[in-house]
Formats: sequence, C-alpha cells, structure tokens
Amino acid sequence: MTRLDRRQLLRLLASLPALGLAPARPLAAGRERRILVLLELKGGNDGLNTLIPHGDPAYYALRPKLSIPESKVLKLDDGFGLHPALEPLLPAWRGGEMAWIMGLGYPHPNRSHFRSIEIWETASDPEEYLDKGWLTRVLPARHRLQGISIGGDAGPLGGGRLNVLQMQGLREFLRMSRRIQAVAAHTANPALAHVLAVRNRIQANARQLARKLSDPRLPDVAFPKSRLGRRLQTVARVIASGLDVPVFKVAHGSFDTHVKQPNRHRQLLHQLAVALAAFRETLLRLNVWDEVLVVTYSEFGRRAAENAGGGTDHGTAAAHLALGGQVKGGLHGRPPSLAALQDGDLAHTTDFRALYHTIASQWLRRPSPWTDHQALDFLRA
Amino acid sequence: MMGLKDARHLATRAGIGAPLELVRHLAGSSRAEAVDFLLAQRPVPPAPPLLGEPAAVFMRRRQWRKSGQRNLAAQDYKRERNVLQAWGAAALLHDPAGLNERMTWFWHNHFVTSIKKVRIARFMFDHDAIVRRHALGNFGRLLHESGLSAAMLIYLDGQRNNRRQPNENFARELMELFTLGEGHYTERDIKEVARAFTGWRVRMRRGDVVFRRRLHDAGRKRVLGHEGNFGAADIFAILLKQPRTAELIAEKMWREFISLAPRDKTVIRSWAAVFRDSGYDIAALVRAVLMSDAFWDARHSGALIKSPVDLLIGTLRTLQPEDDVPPRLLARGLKRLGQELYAPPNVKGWPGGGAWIDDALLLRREAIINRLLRGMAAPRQQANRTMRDGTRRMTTPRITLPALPQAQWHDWLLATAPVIATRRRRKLADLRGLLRDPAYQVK
Repeated sequence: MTRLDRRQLLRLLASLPALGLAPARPLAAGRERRILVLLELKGGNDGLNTLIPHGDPAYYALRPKLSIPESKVLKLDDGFGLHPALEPLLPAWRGGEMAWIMGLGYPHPNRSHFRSIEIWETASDPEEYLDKGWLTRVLPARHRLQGISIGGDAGPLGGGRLNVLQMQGLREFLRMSRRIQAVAAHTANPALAHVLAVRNRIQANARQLARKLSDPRLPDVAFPKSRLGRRLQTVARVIASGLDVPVFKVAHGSFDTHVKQPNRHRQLLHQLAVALAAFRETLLRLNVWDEVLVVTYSEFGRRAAENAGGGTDHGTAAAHLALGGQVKGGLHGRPPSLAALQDGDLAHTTDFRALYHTIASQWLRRPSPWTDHQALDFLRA
Repeated sequence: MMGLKDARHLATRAGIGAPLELVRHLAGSSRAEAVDFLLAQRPVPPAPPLLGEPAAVFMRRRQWRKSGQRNLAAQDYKRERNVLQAWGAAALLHDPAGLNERMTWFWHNHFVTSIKKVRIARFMFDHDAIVRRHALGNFGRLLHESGLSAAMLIYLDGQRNNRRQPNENFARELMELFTLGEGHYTERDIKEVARAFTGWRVRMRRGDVVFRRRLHDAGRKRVLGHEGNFGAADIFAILLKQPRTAELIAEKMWREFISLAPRDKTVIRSWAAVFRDSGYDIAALVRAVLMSDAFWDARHSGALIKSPVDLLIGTLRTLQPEDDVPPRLLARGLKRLGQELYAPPNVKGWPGGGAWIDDALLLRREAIINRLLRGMAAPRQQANRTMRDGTRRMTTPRITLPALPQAQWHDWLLATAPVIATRRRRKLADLRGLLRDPAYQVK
C-alpha cells in the first residue's frame, strides 16, 4: 500500500475512540447487517443525461440543445461519463464503490408514471397486477420494524405483510405519533383488531425510534439542508443507532422534466450527489459503509431525443446507480444502442428483475422469486 | 320503531355517516319502512361540472404537445381533473339519504376506470353519469352501457382491439372482475370474447363512440359453451345467463354491507337468487341485503372499516358544520387518505377493508379528525383563515354541538364500545373523546 486513500484514512480515524468518532456498535459481534437503501427518483429520471454516452455522436445528434458538452462530462471511460452535477460522487467512483447498471427496463414498456412505477415496485409483468411490493415477497414476515419509507408510500415494501413505517419526515412523525396512545384491548372484531394493531405498532415504532435516536453518542455530520439531505440524514441516524432495519426507501424528485430540463435536472442531480456524498462519509466514519447498499430506481427513463420545449418526454430504459462499501465499482450491463431505437426509445438491455434477483439473492441472502433472470455482477462476495 | 342504535347502523352502512335528521327519521320507522325510504330517495346530483367537450380538449392538448408546450397540456389535465373530483366530493356530501351515492361508488369500484389513464375528464363524467343512473337500477344495462362507454374503451384498451390484433384486456377483466370471477372461464373464452368486442372505437377528434364494421371480427366464436357470430350485446347476454355473475356481485355486497369476516355461503346464494330472479334489479338485491338477518346481526356491528369517504365525508355529514367546506379541499383530503375519486389504484379498484388503514394512513386519519374537531365551538376568527386574495378558505369549519341528549351520543356515533374514551361531563370533551376513539374508525 503506497498511500492511504480517503476511505482508509476515515476508517483509521474511526478506529480511534480518542477522537470521539467511534460509533456505538450495539450489534452482537459477528452479526453482519445488510442494509438496502432504495432511492426513488420520482417522475422518471433522464438516464441519458445522467450517465452520458459522450463517446457516441448519436447522443449529440439526438439532443442538440440538451446534451452535455463533452468537455463538461465527468468522464468515467472513453464511452461514458457523469453529469457535471454529480461531481461530489467522484470519490466514490475512484474508491471503486460506485456501479452503474445500464439499460435497465422491461419488455412492452408502459409510459404512464402511475402504472410503470407500480410495475417497478411490484416486479410485475406489464400486463400483470400484483398486490405486494417486490421486497414484501423477498423479506420474511417478522414482528420487528422491517422498513422505513421517507417521503413516499411503502412502494416495494407495500402489500401489508411487513412492519413498515412511512413518514414524511422524522420530526413530523414523532410529533404526530405522540398523540397516539397504545391500548391493550382485546377484541373479537377483526376490523377493530386491525385498527388497534396498527395503532400499537405506530406507537411502539415511534417509541423505539425516539429512544434510539436520542442517544447523544451519535455523530453529528453536516448534511445538506435539502429535503433529500434531511431524509438521508434520518436514514444515517437510524443506521448509526444500531436499530436493525434492513430496508429504507427515500424519495427524491420530481424528475418529470418535460420542459426547461437543464436547470431542474442539474439541481436535482446536485442535491442527490451532495446528499449521497454526506451519507457515504457519515457511514464511512461510523465504519458501517460495508453494511449498506444504495440503489436508485425510477418509473422510466426519458425519450432519447429532446422535445421542442427544452425537455424530454416519458421514455423507457435507463441507467441506475448502486453505491456502497461492497459494491464492485464500474459500468455493468450493456448500454442500449442509440442507433437502434424502438419508436424513438431506448430498448432495454437488462430486465430490472435481474437487479432485484441480485439484491435478493446476493445482498439480502433470501430466496429470490426471479430465478429465471441472471444475476448481475456488481457486488463483492 | 327501531330506535337510535339501529337507525345509526342503517344510516352509516347504507348511506354515508349519520346525519342527525336522517337518523331521527329512520329511528321512528320499522326496518322495512326505513329501507324502503332509503331506496325511494333518488337525489338530484349537483349541476354538472364545467368540463371541456372531449374533442376540443383532445385537440387543444395535442396542439400544445406538438408545439412543445407539454406543461400547458398537463395543467389543462390537472385543472379538469380537480373540477371533476371536487364535483364528485360535493355530490357525496349533499345526497340526503346517501344510499345512491354509496351504490354509485360501489359500482365505480366494480366497473373501474381511472382519469389517470382516460385523461379526459368529460369522458369520466359521462361514465359517472351511467353509473349514477343505474346505481340502483338494472345491472344488465349498467354492464352494457359502462362496457361500451368511452372511458371504459380507453381504460381497458378497447381502442387497440381490432380483428387483426385483438386486445384481450377488456375481455379478461369483463369476465374476471365484472361478471364471473377467476376460474370460471378459460383463456380461450377470453380470446373469443375479445374478438366479439372488436370494432368499438372512441373517435377522439369527435369525442364519440362508434362501431366500425371493418375493424370487427364477424366470424364465429365459442364462448362458455355457446356458439355464434357474436358481438358485444350477445356476450353481455351470455354472461348474464351464468349463475356466477349474480354470486360475484352478492359476494361483493357482503364485504360492502356486512363484514370483513368470511362470507356466509348460504346467505350469498339466497341474495344471488333474489338478484337473478328479479332480472338483475339492483334495488331488489340491496333490499334483500339490508333486510337480511346478517345485516342486523349484532356480531357484525363494527365489523367494517370506514373508507376515507365514510370517515371524512361521513363525519361532516354527521356533524353538519355551519360553514361549507370547499369540495376541492374534500377531494384533496380523500386523496390524502387513499381514496382519490375517479383514480383508483388499478383495474381491481380500491381493495378496501384492512388496506384503508396502514401506519401512514392511520396517522392521517387521526390528523383529519383532529383538524375537524378543532373547529368545534371555536370562535370564528380562530376557525377560519383569511386568504391573501380575500376569499375565505375553511381549514376548520365551525361545528356546534348536536341537539341530542348527551347520553345518546355514543349510540349515535359508535358502532361498538369505545376502547379509550370515558364518559366526560363536559360536552365538548365527551364528543372529542368519542370521535378520537379507535372505535370511531369502524362502522
């Protein structure tokens, strides 16, 4: 080893309790946590202007106004690079902790926000309606808190079987739930029993969260003041508290950039990158970055060509990001060809269920319902 | 004379909420009289909302999209959707008896369409008018008119169904969700039914529905043992001959009117028989349900979870605030509680029951009740907020205490014993306690 990179340095620092940075590690030794943080890019993120095919002249031909000039692209290799607003994520790329999975989508794509996000979140076929989120099918039913969704619905954790906490923000949730008192009422009435069970669950979750998060030993890392920043800070605090919650879902957006895309998209990507960089730094400092996998998803990408209003319309396939201490950095999968568009849209090259299959079997180590898909190779061991 | 308790039971389950005047009226009648009274009420829906003609709306949005002004098209859609949803909320609030509204939304959740796919509010309104007209009328006509409406043709891809490439979406849901239920038809039946429905088209530039002979597959079809050169009307007739159709509706009535607990099969069969023998008269079926022993069985009281409409609209109907709540706010409240009018989650409709209450939704339900309660007996300046443009916008409508002896409030508001609330001497505290009790979430 010739030099310490930032990550190793931080790890070293974290191992020195004298600096006051050592986190509480309340988990029993030898038990490895595997945490999944799903980041929903609401509204349909423009994959082409996120992971940019700067080596392909067709990209510049399709987007005379919206394309990012080659000189500004943060080049990852000869063919692809990042939107300049994602600069705060470059340390993760250099550290080999950032993977991009290209061309994620599904056959017969649906271009309705509403329907397509349902397809992504339930892992259904385009003509199929499933009641349960894809993680609801993967995770075991258990009493303890299994997921926290911040700023959106339960989505992939939906369907009623899991103990999932949904909140707009931590403070609001704790404030609202204070009004709810637990009741120990037994009733033969199934409707009332359901109401009481949900009440008691909210109450127990809120009490547990409030207690764990009041731990003064939690490190105080500066997160950006954006909504996403606050949300990821909450996730980091819960992870740091040692509370064993396997899945978090955080919403960001809206990425529905039909008009005046450049400013809006830059802002959103910048917020994303700054918040994720702070998240990574915090977890590195806590020495738990290896326990965390961050994955983005979105209902669809956007059309390959720009529209007349300085934006892009609903499209199909897109690249998505995986980030974490155990991620094999690099570009994964095959990029959709810009020369062989289908009705002006990118043809997907990897089914999104292959991503789920990989996460289920390799990260969460659970039986995967998608064994007919081939696992991707973006995780270490 | 059935008394306050039974009258509340009938009002909240057959209608929406427990408006004091209605409950008092029902309390003084026998069960049969009361049910007949509810069935005889045919409310006049509020004046139709101001929505653009479908053809004009279609053309102007297309123009905007072509000229790169997609945001104008999106704004236009949102504005019309809001107008329609506010109209729907107002209709729910103002139907005196509530039964017609309950059945209207029962059928909206059966013959499902969504503005999110249909996009043109006027088409949704036309479908609403069909559902409303037949809510307590004839099921066969409802099936027929709803099935060939513009909203349904768009929602279930009838627009893409032609003889060369039949689209099975409508055919499948027609049999699985609207009539027979899963397991009572084959994949082949679906293919044949899809062929029979080819040719029906919405002409977007004209805003009407037409039958296009050259898109229609006039060949022979075999459906459920029948054979012929069937078209849409023949298929509806075949499906209405199947005993399963009446049973499927009777099963749904159990979940709507009786209990979330498993249904009693003998009861279902008897209701289905009434329905079929009446030639699919919905009023006859509803009468059989509301007069059944199961409906009045004390074991089933409190066995249904209130829908957002029951909770929000029902509470307003019950408490009769002095100030009007703008329907737009009601529609927004319903959306927040998980029941966005004219926009159910998918073709299966709102699942209802336990799905009305999860962690996030329960907190919102409590918050909305608390907000309504804040307006009780509050001085006007606190209850209302003046908006910058000078128009008043009610966040908390003023509510005055009900003119009913305090000792009877429990029977008027709750279907089952309170879990937390204890009797309070102070009237306001007593009323608050009852509405905040978990028992108020069920009916």
